[in-house]
Amino acid sequence: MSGSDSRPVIAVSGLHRGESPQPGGAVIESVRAELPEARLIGISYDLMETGLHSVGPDRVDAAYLFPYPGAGPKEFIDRLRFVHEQENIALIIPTLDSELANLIGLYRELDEMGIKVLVPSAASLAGREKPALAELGQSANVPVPRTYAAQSADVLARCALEIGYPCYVKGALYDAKLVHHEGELFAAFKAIYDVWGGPVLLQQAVFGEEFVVAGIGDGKGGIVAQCALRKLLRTRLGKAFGGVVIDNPDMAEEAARLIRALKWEGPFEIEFVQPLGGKRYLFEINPRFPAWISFPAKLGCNMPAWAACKALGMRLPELQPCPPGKMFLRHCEDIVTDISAVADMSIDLKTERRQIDVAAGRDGDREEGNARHE
Amino acid sequence: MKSSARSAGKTPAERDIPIQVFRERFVFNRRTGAFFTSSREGAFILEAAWRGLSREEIEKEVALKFGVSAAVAMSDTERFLLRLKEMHLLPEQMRAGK
Repeated sequence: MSGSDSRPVIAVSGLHRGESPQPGGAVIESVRAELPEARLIGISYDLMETGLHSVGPDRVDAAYLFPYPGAGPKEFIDRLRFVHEQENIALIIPTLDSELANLIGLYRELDEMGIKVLVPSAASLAGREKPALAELGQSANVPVPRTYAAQSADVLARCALEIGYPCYVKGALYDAKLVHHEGELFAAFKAIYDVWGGPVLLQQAVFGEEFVVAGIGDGKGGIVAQCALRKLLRTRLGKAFGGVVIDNPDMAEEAARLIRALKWEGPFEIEFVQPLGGKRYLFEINPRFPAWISFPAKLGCNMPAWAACKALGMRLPELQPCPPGKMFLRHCEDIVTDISAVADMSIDLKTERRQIDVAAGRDGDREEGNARHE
Repeated sequence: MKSSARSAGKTPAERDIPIQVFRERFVFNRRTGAFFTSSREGAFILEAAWRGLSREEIEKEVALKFGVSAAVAMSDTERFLLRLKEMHLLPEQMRAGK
């Protein structure tokens, strides 16, 4: 194990907990609950990620600014080598879809550096991508909304005539826009293609109750643990801000068939949508823990900690089933910080956790002459 | 949150049903996550349906539980079951009219 045996260093990304919350904070909070001795460092891509400024249980012990994943694997590994020299990282838990291609490609290099990383295999990852979802649904016998991929808006518009409006125009990785007529379709295609490139997808719109299953695949087709929710509160981006645990054997079986078909290893989140009185559709599979993963951890099903311990060869925590009827409701609060913290991160590309003396407008460590910045 | 007294001391078969009633009026379906507030009669009939009782058996239990005549129990049960069916809240065998 890197770091020291008594204090493993675990790097986690996805620290922003805003309107579209990233899962990093929930992962950090969960791991810390089981491994209070671990040093949890943040992989950050933006100075304004809220997790950089948290002093709660989701706080980072330190964080480092990285180039955006789109810069490619070389940029990432160059920066990581520097951070590894400072921190002796034992494990990376990525929580952003956009990071996975880089990390899977760097798996061997990371292994040589002594760094474990929680990523699925390249084949598993590709098997749940949006363009491949229909084939996956067929092999696992789970209905999937009709989906077409195209490189041009004209082709997509012809497909829309078959699916019918309204329908979704989606990027292969990110972004989705509901369109009601051809004019909106062309505009949505352009907006998505200009940012994310092709192919752009057209998907049948299915409206109904939304369900999610978070879990860990064992890589052999089995599921180590899972928690299923019905979404109770959703943001306008469809993010769960509240949910209630359910015990639905049919949905659990569908999730099991999907994970079996993918031979998924590591964290996942499966999203379903079900119209009233209709069949349940697979909406998407996210290749990471969801932003609500600290909720089952608080019910005794600490999946991030289990995955971390498994990767690090440590004693595994017990995973309890999540009782139906348990609920979470996300409650936002304002973090008070200081512009000096942003300035430090901007200049040093690194931050260490410290108490900000807000009233004085400066941080307490500096006041004491204990600045820990490079 | 406290379950109704009726939820206590259930048989194994009853524990398998996904319907949970709180304070006789708040219904939670553990399988779908749906929940709503109902009249006492509605919640009672829904739970009875999920326990696998036939319409006739439910009518008898309604008459006994709420102290109403057989005719009132029959009428109320029919009305509630129709409404519950429209809302897709009944178990499969009862939705199919079995």
